[in-house]
Amino acid sequence: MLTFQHILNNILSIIIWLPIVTGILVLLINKKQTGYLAVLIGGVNLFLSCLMLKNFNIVGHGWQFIEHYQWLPNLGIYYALGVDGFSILLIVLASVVNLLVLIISLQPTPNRSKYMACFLIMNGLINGVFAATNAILFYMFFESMLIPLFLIIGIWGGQQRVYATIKFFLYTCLGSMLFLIAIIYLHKTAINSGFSLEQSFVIQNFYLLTLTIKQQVYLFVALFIAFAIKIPIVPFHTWLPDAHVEAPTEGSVVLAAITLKIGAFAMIRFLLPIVTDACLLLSKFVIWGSLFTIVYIGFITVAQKNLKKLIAYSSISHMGFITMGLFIAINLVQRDQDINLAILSMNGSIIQMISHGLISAALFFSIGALYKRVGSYNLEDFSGIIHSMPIFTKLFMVFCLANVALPGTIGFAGELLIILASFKVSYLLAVMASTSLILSVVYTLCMYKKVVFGELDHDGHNHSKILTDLNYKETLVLGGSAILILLLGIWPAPMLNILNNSTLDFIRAIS
Amino acid sequence: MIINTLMLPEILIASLSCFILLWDVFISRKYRITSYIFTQLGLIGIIVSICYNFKNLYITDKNIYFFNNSLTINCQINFFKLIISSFMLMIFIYTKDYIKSKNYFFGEYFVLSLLSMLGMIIVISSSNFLNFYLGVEMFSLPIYALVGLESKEINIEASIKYFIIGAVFSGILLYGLSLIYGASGNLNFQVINSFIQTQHVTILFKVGAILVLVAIFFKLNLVPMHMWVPDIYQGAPIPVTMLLATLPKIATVVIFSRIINEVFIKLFNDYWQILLIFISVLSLIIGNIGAILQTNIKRLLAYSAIGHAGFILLGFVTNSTAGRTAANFYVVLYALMAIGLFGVMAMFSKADLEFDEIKDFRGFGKQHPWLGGMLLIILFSMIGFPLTIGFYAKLLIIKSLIDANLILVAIVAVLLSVISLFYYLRIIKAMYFVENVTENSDYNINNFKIFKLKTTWPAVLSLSINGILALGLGVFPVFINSILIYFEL
Repeated sequence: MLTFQHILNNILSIIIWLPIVTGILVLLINKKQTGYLAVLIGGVNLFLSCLMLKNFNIVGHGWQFIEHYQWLPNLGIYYALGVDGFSILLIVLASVVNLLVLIISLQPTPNRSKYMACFLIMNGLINGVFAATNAILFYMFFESMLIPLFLIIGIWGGQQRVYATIKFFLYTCLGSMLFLIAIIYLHKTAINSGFSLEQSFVIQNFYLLTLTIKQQVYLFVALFIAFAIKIPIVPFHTWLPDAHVEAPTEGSVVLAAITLKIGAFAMIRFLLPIVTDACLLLSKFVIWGSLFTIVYIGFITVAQKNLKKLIAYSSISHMGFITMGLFIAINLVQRDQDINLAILSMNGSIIQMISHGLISAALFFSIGALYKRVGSYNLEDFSGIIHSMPIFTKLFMVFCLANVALPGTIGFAGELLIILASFKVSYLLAVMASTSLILSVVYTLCMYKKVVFGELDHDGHNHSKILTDLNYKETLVLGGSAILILLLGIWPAPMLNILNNSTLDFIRAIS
Repeated sequence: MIINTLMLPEILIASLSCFILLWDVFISRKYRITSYIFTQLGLIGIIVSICYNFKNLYITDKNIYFFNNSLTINCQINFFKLIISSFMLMIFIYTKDYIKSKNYFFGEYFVLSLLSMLGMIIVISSSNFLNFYLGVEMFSLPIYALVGLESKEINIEASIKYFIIGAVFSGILLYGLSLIYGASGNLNFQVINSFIQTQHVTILFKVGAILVLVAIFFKLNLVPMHMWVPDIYQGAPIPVTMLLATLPKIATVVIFSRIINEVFIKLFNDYWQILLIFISVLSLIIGNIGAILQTNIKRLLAYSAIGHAGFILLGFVTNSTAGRTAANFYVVLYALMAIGLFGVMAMFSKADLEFDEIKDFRGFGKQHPWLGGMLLIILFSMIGFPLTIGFYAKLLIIKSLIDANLILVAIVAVLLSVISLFYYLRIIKAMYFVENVTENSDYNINNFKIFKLKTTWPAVLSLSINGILALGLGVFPVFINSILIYFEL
């Protein structure tokens, strides 16, 4: 008999494989109506992940909802799943964003069912990345989740899609290769230091290894390049604007909201706890590199004429805060022994991940809605849409203000915590990081002004009159994300409660 | 009478090929299909007899020798016989329509392929260098003839080229064997092994051993013995390219790991390791970079085969059982995937059309969603992408390298294999990413014609099995776990 407890015991497997199997089914049936099935499964998945969140024990430590099966036991590869506070939040985020994406893609796209199947399969694989506790399993999901995205950009993208998607694919695969070597090397070290084959690929056992500083630096380089490409940090960022501009709206949403988070999440899982000493040694480079990313990309963003590129660059700039927060945390723990502030900085990074996920998703949805009506991403082609799209304008306002980290939105919480913690490391850093927020105000509000206000007949571009306001699907999606952004901004306590113990565990692992 | 049943597959293959040869002489042109049917039935019989032999063999058993210690069999060798004959069956299924439409649906194709297969089976079960040499010649000579099957100028050129180069390297092999014989006084694997262990190994013997390796590297088309590969691949008709790109490689890798393990294991030192690393890295570089600019898929696969061979050779540099197991596993998977890819090409080449340019694949994924999906899986498996079976092959080789502390080699190898992504992605790009093919009407009309052609169900089934195996075993690798021991040679 299939009871509720059975479902709860295998809930991680269900939220990984249910979308994948449904996606393959949708591909095989290939009828237009199967799109609704896809949305239904997306909803079920969100429901299941919320169910998991409800049953998550916030006072417990370590992995929860553990599953452990044989996969390739000869090599020590086990199908081992589990979640902690970080990953459960990201799984919920991924499910929310995926449901929104599926709803919005219920429009007449060519090959709609295949398109939605790709998103479903990708959602399953992404959940797998967040849930895997075996390093090789993690790597498999980490890498194979690129295939659906590669196809989405390549098949449904814009003019230069082939160039963009191949660039994206090659870039990310190059990083992953080094990651694979690092994993196998760690496995070998684990075997040499007495772990059994079954335990040798478990991520948490990697934390216990004693590595010399030389080994750590090599491992740091391999892992850091792999994850920095995904996040991305300057100078590994050049693939992202291309991929974003050429991707269809929904592809951009998933790329910005979830795929980039995987890089930061992998840093939390692998880089910081495993090669802690090397991280401390090189933390100056990473912190100032992140600041450079924030400021430099901020200036680039100000100069953008293409709406989508603007949002893409702004998203890189905001991702800089996450790496900065993580490396500030390690600095605080190791050098200043200030655990409380380190916890603050860690939580700030995680919240920044979630807020960036929601905000960038919402912004890309908005840009997509505009593109559908105007057929252009060019900033010059927009003006005065406040006259024809009042609902859109109001929601867009919320997202833009959240993007500039206005208090009361979720964007504020993360960046505030990180900047607060950065004072302890260096005043100069804190001052520069906080003034860099001005840049985001500049580009976001300039964009808002250009798009929303202005003359109706601007340079003979008279699109704005014929624009229709949001339809019910778009209102649902954009309104839903606005509510989430405001709600979590005003009341972030539940997130912090869930994070609490995992952050403590993490701080213990890196001290 | 264990010996008799153990030799049954070889006897069956030999008699089957003789029978088809005779049958083909007496049958009229109209009923030529019967040769195909008899070949396939015979092959199924051979596969059954090989499977039956597993009953008498146990995985832990030592080798069983017969014919004055010149042939041997154990569980693993029997397993490779099974693999070679079932892949042969698959190749015949894929290529039946092709050779029918090209008007050389004669018994020769089947007879020569079967004889070549007999040669491969003799090679992998030989335990005497003379048998090894005979087997190598036996599987090479029919292929030289098969390359010229179509008797067009390009085929004949390829055939002669292949034959001359092959003859030179067979001479090198024979010379090396004669040196080994001169130094040790015997050609039997076990005797030579005990000779190496007990007595001083002279320079004469070492030169002989190196010459044997050179001949093996030629068969694996490794750099610098690779010049012939692209021309031969392109010159041969697709069914023959499919055959020569896959099965001889399996046989060669298997016998190579057996020779290293059973004969030269004590001779293997750091110099050998450096030599092997050097050759495999060179092959990876030349193979992968050479493939980037190819527009013809046969040529592309020829260069990629050089790269894959380099990767396979990396399994041997560690001189460990794990490495050799990885190499054997890799070559079998490579062959399976290559058969699938060549199979698609064979399915869609008809009459005067060769379906072998990248541009021919334009719109393939949209016209044939199911076949396109299967081919997509096969290509990703060839790249070695996770959640396909190719990943485990790559993982095993890299793991064997890192376990032997050859981390730099592993890094170089995987970074060079990223290049291989690019040219496989070009095929995927042509399949899926090219929009309305109207921009370039030449290709379109051509492709339209090609895709309208009906595919036959055995070929579709075969490709589906290929694709589903690649994905299914990738997602549920528990099954690999139990068969991995069969690759341990």
